[in-house]
Amino acid sequence: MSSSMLKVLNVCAWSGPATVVVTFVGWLIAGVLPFPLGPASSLDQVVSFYTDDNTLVKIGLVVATLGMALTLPLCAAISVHMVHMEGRTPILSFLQLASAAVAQVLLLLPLLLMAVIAFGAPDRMSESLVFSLNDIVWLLFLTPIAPIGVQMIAIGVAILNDETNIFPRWVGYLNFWIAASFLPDILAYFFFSGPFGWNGIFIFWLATTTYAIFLFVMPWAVRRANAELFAAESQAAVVPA
Amino acid sequence: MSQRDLPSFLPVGGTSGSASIREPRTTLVVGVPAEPGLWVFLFGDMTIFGAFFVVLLWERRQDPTEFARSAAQLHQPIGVVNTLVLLVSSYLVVLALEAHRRNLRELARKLVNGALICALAFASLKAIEYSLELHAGHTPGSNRFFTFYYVLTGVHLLHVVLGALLLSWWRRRTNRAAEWSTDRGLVEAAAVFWHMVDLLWVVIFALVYLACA
Repeated sequence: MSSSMLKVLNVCAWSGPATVVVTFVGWLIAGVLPFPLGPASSLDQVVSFYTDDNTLVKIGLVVATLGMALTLPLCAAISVHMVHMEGRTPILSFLQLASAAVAQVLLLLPLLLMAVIAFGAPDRMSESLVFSLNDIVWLLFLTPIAPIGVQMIAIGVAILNDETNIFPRWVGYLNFWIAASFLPDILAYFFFSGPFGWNGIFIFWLATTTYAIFLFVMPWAVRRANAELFAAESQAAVVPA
Repeated sequence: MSQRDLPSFLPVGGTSGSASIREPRTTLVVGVPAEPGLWVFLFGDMTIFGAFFVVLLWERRQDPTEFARSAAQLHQPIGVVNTLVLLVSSYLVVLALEAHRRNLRELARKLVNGALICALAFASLKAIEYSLELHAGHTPGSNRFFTFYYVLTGVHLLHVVLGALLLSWWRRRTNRAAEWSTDRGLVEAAAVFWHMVDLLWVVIFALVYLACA
């Protein structure tokens, strides 16, 4: 591995924390944070979210969509190390990469739809349409947990099967835990308020917190593995077998 | 297929690319049951349950009479029996672990079987309890108490199923001879996970069935 390749891998790792920071800033600008709309929000509240400060909502969502896509370089770097864990049959690496791509689409689509609502809400959409589209945005954002769960279980299984500990084993268990923490999200279909409504503590807040943990811990593990891989390969180059 | 057909990012030889250079690190530590990394999952899981409990108690403070009225409609005898069933299963797991450690595999298998029967009994009683509650018109959407009742016991039941799968895996290990050091990781993980399932139930029973009533 050349040192320029090491740089690419390290930059890919840094895209994890960058996702958190950029998306967070975007959501703050758009007003999604600190208090997101909930299933109990009234028609007036939903419509005024998209029409008051309309430009800020659009700018914030543009920033957030750019930030969200930064998970992809991180997932690519994770797959590089998973290939080293798995060797000749890197099925979990492919599974991780494919499910990360699907999860990425499912994270981006609601943000784009939100921007579309901000585009149409002031004068070309009825209020009830804005209201229904907003439901779609939030349920589409939080409930499709299967692809991201598959991604994290693939990472966890690869780590625990790897006898050389390219990633520390506890990172494997951490991935299982994060996958498990998304399970309550499907309850968002059933509740219109409270801790299990889509903006509740066990839905939006739990899922975003544990996903942020993923986006900080995995880059740490990737950078650590990058350095070891680089050291091992340059050592192997110096002493030919 | 010759090795030349493989893309260059796939290491040849079927082992990890840098395996020859790295030393495998031991993952089991004396004095820590199962491998230390598993505790990240266990403590993480218990943290989420802890948050469930805090929010449950906070919601109860908002409307204590409604919570008391709803909790009174639960079938406490079923809850008591299920608590005893899980406590017995945990004790069987303790004995099974000790038997497995002393290489008494036949005995260990019987004890794990006992724990699995307890798991099945727990799940069956839970199913009866759910159908009684649903029949009485109490659904997850009835009120905040029943939301918590169904979510907490439902997520816990998921853990019972996962724990039973781990116990079954352990049971398969008792069929073949092996060094304790080979089996230790899995056996202790299954045992520790099962104790967590038991511990969480005791807290759920105390909070949902007793404290709210």
